[in-house]
Amino acid sequence: MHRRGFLARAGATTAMAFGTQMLGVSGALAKAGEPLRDLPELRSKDKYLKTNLFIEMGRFQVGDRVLHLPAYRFDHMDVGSVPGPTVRLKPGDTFEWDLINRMTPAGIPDGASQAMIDQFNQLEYTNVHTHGLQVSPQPGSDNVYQIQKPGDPPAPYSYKIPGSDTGRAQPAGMFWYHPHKHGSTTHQAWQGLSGAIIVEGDIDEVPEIKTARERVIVLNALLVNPAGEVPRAAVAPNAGVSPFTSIPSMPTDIILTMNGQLQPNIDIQPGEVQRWRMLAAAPHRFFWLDLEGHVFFQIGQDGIPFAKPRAVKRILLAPGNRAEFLVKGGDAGRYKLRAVQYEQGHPGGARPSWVIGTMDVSGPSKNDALPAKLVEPLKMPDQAVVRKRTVTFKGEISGNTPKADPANATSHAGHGSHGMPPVQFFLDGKVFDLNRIDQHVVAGTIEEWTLVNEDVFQHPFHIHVNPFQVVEINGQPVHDDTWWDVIALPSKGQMTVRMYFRPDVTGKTVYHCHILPHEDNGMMANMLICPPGSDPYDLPGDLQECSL
Amino acid sequence: MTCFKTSVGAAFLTIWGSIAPNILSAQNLEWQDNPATKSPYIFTQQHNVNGRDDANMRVQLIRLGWSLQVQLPGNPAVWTFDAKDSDLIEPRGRTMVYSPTRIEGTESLFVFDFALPSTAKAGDHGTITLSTTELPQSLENVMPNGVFVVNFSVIAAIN
Repeated sequence: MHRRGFLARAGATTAMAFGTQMLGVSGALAKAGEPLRDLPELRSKDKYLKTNLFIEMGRFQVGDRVLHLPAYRFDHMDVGSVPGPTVRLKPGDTFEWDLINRMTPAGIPDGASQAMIDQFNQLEYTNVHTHGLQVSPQPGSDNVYQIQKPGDPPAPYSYKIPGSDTGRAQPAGMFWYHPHKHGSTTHQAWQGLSGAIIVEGDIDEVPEIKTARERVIVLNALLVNPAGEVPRAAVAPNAGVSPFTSIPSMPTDIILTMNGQLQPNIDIQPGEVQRWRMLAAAPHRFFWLDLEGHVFFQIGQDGIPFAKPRAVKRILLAPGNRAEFLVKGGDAGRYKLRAVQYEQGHPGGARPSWVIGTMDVSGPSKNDALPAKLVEPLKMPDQAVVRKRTVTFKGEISGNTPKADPANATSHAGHGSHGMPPVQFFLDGKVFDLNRIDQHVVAGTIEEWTLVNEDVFQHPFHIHVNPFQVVEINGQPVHDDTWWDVIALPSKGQMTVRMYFRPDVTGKTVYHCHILPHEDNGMMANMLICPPGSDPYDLPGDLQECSL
Repeated sequence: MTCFKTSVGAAFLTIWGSIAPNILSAQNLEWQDNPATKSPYIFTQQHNVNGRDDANMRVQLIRLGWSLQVQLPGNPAVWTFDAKDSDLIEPRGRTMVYSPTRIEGTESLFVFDFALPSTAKAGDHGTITLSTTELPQSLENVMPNGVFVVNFSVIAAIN
């Protein structure tokens, strides 16, 4: 069904969202093979959107399992949704929400002492990050240093989405929101806390896209114990289908879902063109997408549209990546959508292949056109590179290494008094320190960063606020104008990326590995974006300013 | 499916101490015992208590009816099950999976499957011990002397 036609049938945007949410209750009670549901959504009006963003506990049936999870809910919804509802914005909008944390402990190991229960209270601390939005990282906006405990007063967040008046509008595409409290991001991602942000703009006016049925698809990986809860404990990697065990151990399963459903059906007519926006919200699993008998006509990466569609057989989504593409229904039949086997460096070898859904081609034949061109692509400003840096990624998963400084860097992970965390991950030999500035950069300038990966793990590099382009892989030039905000590094290799720090956004923010168990265990660093014209390059790392 | 349990086993209290009353309802959701998706308790080198001064605080609870698995990095180191230093556990098999360049000095993971004996009952205590004579340096702190130990107590299947 055409998106706008669908909205028209629902009567109004909010009515549709409410109605979908009511359906969403049954949608969340999905068995394998049910139709892929549309997520509830909320759209800005007159350049403004405001809601509360609740996190509340709920029970959700996925396949034959009943899961007990926290879920995002907006004001207009009766119950929460896993994954969360979708936000629709336009460049130039002001978007505000108040985060209200009502999480309660779940997944506590058998026999846990009160001390252990208390030790893991941080797993219910949260905040919210608007991944890919080129907005201020400062307090009150996309501030990942915010800590929101259960029962705290609502935490207000306000974002000014860059419009054309800035000279560099927010590109039109798929972005997303998720918790970013250091130490609990993985746990909450395994609980499915994630949602799509759609910025609408020029690409939506391409005629062949404008008329296409749109699907917003969030891919999650839910790591649950036999009670259907995410283990509230430290974790360590292991071989097998379920990739992590807890300490103390409890049996776990990993469930890959699309819009919170197990192996749903996606209906399409022969010859019909649909627009799929796909978000990899799982904290660890790479999705190497393959659709039997079909190709993907990719139209955007990480929220930034291409100049023209690119026909590809498979698309690799590292954790945090988004891909937007067109699918044209082939002959009538059923076609498996798979996350095919992928070697991402995890202990025990490749992550296994999964059927994540099925495309059901049926009904009257059509012959929808595919667009030949899309939009004028985002350009890198014609400026000199002012600075080159190197960042080195190195992980340690043996559990054999003493805890790195700072002493409290990984205390959340339950390492206790033993002094050897189950795992540790380092950027430039250091674990994350809230109070250290690792890089001072200047807004309005261009830099090149060489990202050296000393591991077999394909650490996906992510930086907040500004996207980047790849210019070299292993020292060899790459001629590719794709923009990314997450990219998987080659194992035991290196990649050089070029980024433009937009001139109108300054403040302290982070870059990190988007395998979230790596980020939570140290692989994150702080960056201070200084105002245009400043000269902070020789400042000490403990100086949280842009000048002495 | 939404039933909350509040009973607490005796071994539970003895080994792990008291539980906050306000947590009980959240803590004791019933486990869904689906044979098709029944996974084992998995232990890795990070669970080892040999050489830890807090070993007596790290007694693992195992629900009756659930299997166990130990995964340890090796090759060239070879891990073997030490029956004489183990108790209340039945080995069910051993495999070795390729896992190169993850942990220095190891190329594989040794995977041992275990089960509780049919006579096991709630309140029983057991031990799993494995050892190697060729421990790589990269594991000498986490598994000193090449010995891996997990101590456990058995609790009821439905807690």
